[in-house]
Order: sequence, then C-alpha cells, then structure tokens
Amino acid sequence: MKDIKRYSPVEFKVTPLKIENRDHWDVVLEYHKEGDGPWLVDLCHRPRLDLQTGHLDTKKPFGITIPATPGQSVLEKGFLINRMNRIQSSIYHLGGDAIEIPQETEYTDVTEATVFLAIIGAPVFAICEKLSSLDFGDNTRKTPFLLQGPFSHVPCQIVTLSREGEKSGVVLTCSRGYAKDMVDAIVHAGEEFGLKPAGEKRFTDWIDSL
Amino acid sequence: MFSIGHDLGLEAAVALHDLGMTIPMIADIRQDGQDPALAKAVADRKIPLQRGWVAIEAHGKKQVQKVTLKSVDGTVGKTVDCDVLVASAGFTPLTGPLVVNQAKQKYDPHTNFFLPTDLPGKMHAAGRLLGLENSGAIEASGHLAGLQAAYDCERCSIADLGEARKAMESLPGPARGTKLVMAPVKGRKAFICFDEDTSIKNIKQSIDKGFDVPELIKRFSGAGLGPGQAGIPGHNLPLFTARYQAQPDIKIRPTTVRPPLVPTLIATYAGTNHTMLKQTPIDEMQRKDGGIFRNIGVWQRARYFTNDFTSKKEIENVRNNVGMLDGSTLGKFRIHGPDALNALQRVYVSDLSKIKQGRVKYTAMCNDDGCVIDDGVVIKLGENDYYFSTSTGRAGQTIEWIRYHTRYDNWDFCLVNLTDAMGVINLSGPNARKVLEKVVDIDVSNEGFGFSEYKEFLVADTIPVKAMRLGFVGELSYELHVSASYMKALWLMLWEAGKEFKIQNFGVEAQNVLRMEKCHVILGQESEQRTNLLDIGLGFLWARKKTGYKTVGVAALAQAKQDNTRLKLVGFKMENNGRAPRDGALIVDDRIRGHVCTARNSFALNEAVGMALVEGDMSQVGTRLAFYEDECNGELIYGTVVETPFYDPSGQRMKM
Repeated sequence: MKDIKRYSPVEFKVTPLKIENRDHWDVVLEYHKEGDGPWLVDLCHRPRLDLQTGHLDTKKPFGITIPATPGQSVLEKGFLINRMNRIQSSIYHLGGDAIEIPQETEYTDVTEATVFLAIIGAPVFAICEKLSSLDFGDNTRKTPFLLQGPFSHVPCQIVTLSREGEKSGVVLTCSRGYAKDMVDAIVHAGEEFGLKPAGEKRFTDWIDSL
Repeated sequence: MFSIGHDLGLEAAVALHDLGMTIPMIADIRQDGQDPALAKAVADRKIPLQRGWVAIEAHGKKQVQKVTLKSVDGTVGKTVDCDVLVASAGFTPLTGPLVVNQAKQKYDPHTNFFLPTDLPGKMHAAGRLLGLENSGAIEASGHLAGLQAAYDCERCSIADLGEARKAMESLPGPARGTKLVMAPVKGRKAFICFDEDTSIKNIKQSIDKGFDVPELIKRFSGAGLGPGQAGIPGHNLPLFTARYQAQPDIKIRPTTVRPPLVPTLIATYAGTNHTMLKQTPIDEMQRKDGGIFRNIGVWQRARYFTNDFTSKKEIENVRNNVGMLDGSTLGKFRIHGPDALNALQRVYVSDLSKIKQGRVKYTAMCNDDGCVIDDGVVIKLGENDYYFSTSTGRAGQTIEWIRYHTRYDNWDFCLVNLTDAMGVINLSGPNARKVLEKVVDIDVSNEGFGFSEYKEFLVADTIPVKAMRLGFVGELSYELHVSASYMKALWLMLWEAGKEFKIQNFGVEAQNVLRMEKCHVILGQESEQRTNLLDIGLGFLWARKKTGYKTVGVAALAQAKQDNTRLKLVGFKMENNGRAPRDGALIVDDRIRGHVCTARNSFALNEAVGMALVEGDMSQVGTRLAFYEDECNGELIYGTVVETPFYDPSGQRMKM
C-alpha cells in the first residue's frame, strides 16, 4: 500500500535530526541546534479528546478522576485532564503508548480540531506575557491549571504545568487553522529569549521530570 | 526612569527600588497632591522626585537608552541615561456605566475629574465609579450602595443607612488627579486620541474653524470616536478645549459617553499585533497551484486560480469535466446526547426527526424575526448523534446560538466544534464519479451512492471519509469530509486519479458563479439582515406541521407569509445581451426598489444573469428592471425577471 502521511499544521523552519513514523505521522523527535531553551514543541500528533456530558461527575476517563472545579487540571498516567465547565472536560494524552479512544458517545476525538503546542523553559511566562493578558504564572493557583481565553487574540486553552524555573512550561491548544499564525506569533515573541523549536523528546523528558 | 501622574506610580517606583532597580529620577506631572507617606518613602530611598515634570522623549532604537524630561511649562529640561521608562498618567473615574444609564457628569475642580452627579432613582454606585481609590473608602462605599439598594426594597432602616454614610464621611473621598496630561513637546505631535491619531494641533485647528465645543470638535476631528470610546480624550478634550479658549472651570463639559464601554488594552498601543488568520490543511498546495488568495472572514481562501478574474476556465472545467474545490472552511459540528434532536428541532426550521441514516438533509436556521441566518446539512450518525454543517461565516457563533436558544430547557445535549478538524474536498463535474471510483472501494454509481445520500468509508484502508452527494454547483458532486491531517493525502490521491481527465482546481469565485447559475443562495450575499426564509425562496425547508419545539423564527414566518410587500429574491437576465450589473447595484424606478445580490456573465448560458432582491410587486416574471450603478452618470442598464434556475432547471446534472 502506498505510504499515506498525516500532516501537522505546524512547520518549523529548521532541519529535523530524528524522525519517527507513528500512526502515519512523521513525528520529529529532535531538531538540529535546539539550543538550551526555551523551546517550542509541536504536539499536534498527540491525541486529544473532548468529554461532554451532563453527568461528568460519573465519568473516570482512563481511570482518572476529573477535577471538580472548572479551571482545575490533573496530570496522571500521561493524561492531562482539564475541567472546562460544568459539562465538559478536555483530555490530552501527553505521554506513553498509543491509546484506545473510549467508545462511549460522550467522547469525541478532537485531535484534528486544534493545534497543540508546548512552550518550555524559564522565560515561558515572559514570552506568554507578550501575547496574552492572562496570568499563566499565577502563583495563587496549584499547577496544573487551565486558563481559557485569548492568546495572540485567538481563543485558546492554556494549561500551566509548572512554574518552577527551568521546568516552567505551558501547553496550548487553539483552532488548527490558526497554526501558522500562532507559531509565528510565539516564535516572534520568544525571539529575544532564544526560543527555538524542539522535537518531541524534549517535551517527553520535561513531562517525565514533573 | 519614571514619568507618572498618580500615587500608584510612586508606589511602583518604591517597590521596584526595593527589588533592586536603580531609579535615577521620578518625574511627576502633578505639582502637588502626592500621598505624603509615599513622598517620604521616595525621599527615604534617595530617589529624586521632580514635581511638575514629565518625560517628553525616549531615545534609543531597540531599547530605551535615555529619556528627556521637561517641566510642564516647558522652561527647564534635562536628559537622563536609563534603560527602562515607566510611564503612567494615572486613572480617571470609571463613570461610563453610570452615564450611559442617564447619570450626569460634572467637572470637579478639586479632584480635576469628571464625577457622576444626579444618579437616577434607585441607582447606587460605589468604588472607582465614584473616583474612590482608598481601599477602605471603596469597601465602605460598596457597603453603603448595598444598603441603599436594600432600602429601596424596604429591607434596610434609615438608621443603618445613616451609620454607613457616617462611616463614609470619615474616609478619603475621590483621589486628586492631573488636570491635563499634556507634554510640552514643541514642534512634535502631541496626541489627544490614540485611536484616531488626533493631535493637539488638530483640536486647535477645529476650534479655529469654529467647532468650539467638545461635542462638535470630536465629530470634526474624530477624537474619541475610536474603539477606546474616549477613554483618554474623554478627559483631556474638554479640559484642553477650555484651556485653549481661556474658559473658566465652570464651562468645562464632558462629551457624551456611549457603549460599548470597553477599555483599550495597553497591548493595543504597545504590544505586537500579529494578524491572525486561519489556513486550510492544503493552503500551501493551493498557493503552489497558483491560487490567488483573499481573506474571507477569519479564513484565507483561494478565490481564483488564474489572473482572469472571470474564472472562465475553472467554471467551464467544472461544467464539462471535473474540478476540485477546497471547502474546508465550512462549519462542522457534532451534537450528541438525549436531547440532541430537541436542540436541532429548536433551531432548524425543518423536521429533523424524519432524517434517515445514510441521507443528507439540507435545512436552515432563522432568528426570532424569521430572518434566515444560516443554512447547511444535517446527518444522523446514530441514535441521538448528529453531524451538521454551517456556512463559513456562522461557524464561530453556532454553539452559542444553540445554547442560547435552549437555555431554559435543561436539555441534556453536547456540542463539539469540528470545523477545523475536518477538511472538505468538493469533487464536482460530470467526470467526478470516474475520478472518485479510482480512489475508493465502495460503489459510487448513481444507484450505489445516489443524490442526497451519505456514506462513511475508508480510503486505502486508512483515511476515514464522510462523503455526501450534493449539488451546490449544479453538477454531479461529492463533498468529502476528511480528517484535517489526512486532507493533503486524499487531495493528492484524487488529483493523481484525475490526471487522465485533466482535473483542475477551482476557487471560490468559480463556485460563486456556478451556484448562481443554479440560483443556489449564499446567505449574506442573496440575503441581508431583513431577509426571511420565504423571501429567498427557501420556504420549502419550513416544516409547517412540526409543533412542540418552539422553533426559532417560525412565529414570525407565519405572520410574514401573507405579506406581499416584502423584498423577494428573483432571477433576471439582461436585455440585448448586455453586461451584468455590479453586485450591489440598485434597482430603481422613481425610487429605490431593490438591489442586485449577485450577477455575472454566464459562460454556460452565454448571457449575463443574476439574482436580486426586489419589492414584491416587481417579482413577477417579465417585469423590467432598471439598474443604477455607482458613477453611471444616470445611464441605467436594463434586465427582465425570468424563471429560475437559469441552468439545468430539472436538476438532472447533479442527479446523474
């Protein structure tokens, strides 16, 4: 059978060093000259699910309890589960092997609906501050936590996973169509901090360190 | 370096000094009125505080290197090396919400602010609405306002009110502000309105021309008419106008405040501003194929594929052969849950309980006035599970629209926006089937995959596709919805399969002409805000026997169906094989009687045709229409109302 490829909406203008084919995606594990951080990582190939039901409290996706309060998130077993509102949670699969999408109708695979990026490194909040008035470094909130609002003028979900120095980082999703302009905006904002594209390995190492 | 006009500026300077920042000077535009404690804190840290001074110029290119300061009267100045300039003119009271609710404003010479006076009955304000900035006073004012509201509802005693008032009296009133924030910048522009780029010079010019009161000046100069809703000029314009004309304080009157009361973000002035537009999954390929792009709403779309903006080749290729259009911008949604059907029945005019699995139902949504706001198709995926499309322009509002119109029903349903998740390929033309059958394993004959049918299948055992037989352009057409990441792969497979037929791209303009020849409407083009479902000939979608769902707009439609005075959508052809009038051209007799929605020279019909909204009495076939275009110098062109559709009236080509 002819090799069928899936394409990420994100294209960095740097040369990949290591690539792995996974479920028809060419996943870049490492780029040339990634530098010492901060980093921007394309995670569009990582599965994302929308879970909606009027009975959200009865659901335990992948055996994980959904946070009770909108804006709270939980990172367990490689899954990041974000409580969006009374009836809705977003689920990001950040690490580990391929997953089986639950067959219950309340789940919708929205992997393709959004662009999915991680910004990692000490200056992450200084970079984000140039693009959004939301406070991703809010030290009154326990990490991980979810903010929903404009980032570079586009409605986004942004989860702060850590605000501890070099380990600081956020993951961000917005409508897939904005991928090019969103990446351009982040790269531009991060230029003065030395932000560089990085492969998935950098992200995986970071998640494992949290 | 600090250039400030408010105690918070002093507070920030002290805080940043204590965090290690070296502050060479604070220029405070106020001559006096600083909080004594803060002034002492500044002095204790040996930070020079220049009262009545202001920064007039920052030097440096990528970063500030030095700042020039001057006294407000412009007589003394100095330049100081620094790498950060912190500038703040201070606050003005947030009186907007009160004023738009009929409160009055009056200039207070003590505080230098416009403060609310004469609040309407049962309106009570607190905090910064009144210009208060002391936290204790803000809290006490909130307590008092709450008690006043309770008193209005007979739930509070006079004595309690008296106590709360007394507590307020012992606390600081409105803070004192800067009378007029204006730097002494001789020979350079000093802006009074950043939204409209209105400078002090423009205000002087307005006054010199006789527009001598703020209400007239703002209309003449544009000051305060931008999105900031006079956030800055609302304070400065009346003060400057009074000063320039040497008027006493009593003459200073504010300009009228109108909604929206949205503050201007500092990022609007100072931050980067990236243009954020959406691209479809095959944007890059379409550009390489010669696509000429236009911004359409939030999307970038290929409108043409040659410099011939009539799109003749693209149109003829679809009519006679086969073409592909990137239709990914269509809104796409999943709705599921026990009340999914109820929600659809509420917003769509058709009876969707009758949809059969494997069929496509074309339908429309109206607003409460019966005016048509959206159209698209609905597909039943399973029990309580539907997939539906919307027009490109409505996709962003669809979830809110459905939630809003079901907000009191406590229905259990879930909505997922899949607009960006799915790419859409329109494969259209008499050879479309021959191309598709080379790529898929299912029976795509007319018997196997008929008009208005829906199928799900895998291409090459890998790519999941939702496919519909539709006919928007009036030819045999397949609309293939495919996961966005697979869109490029499927497009290339179809392109490869179509090579033997010389398959070509077609763009949005070609699609526009093709569907216009079939008189298929595009909402927003063949409709405007007042156009209802019946006006544009979509009344057949309205299931009049559907009851019990309180469908949005049907009550208004029921009233409108007997109304013959409404505008009606008609098709027309031009007289004497004349050219098509421009879109938007007026239809006139001794007055305006309608307007052209879309009109083009049709290559399939070899004559100019179009659609127009005209008054009811002009909608009969045979009526002569006179078109008035911009700059026509009174030379009208003429056409005649004809039967529609213009092309393939029996619809055989799209059902072949």
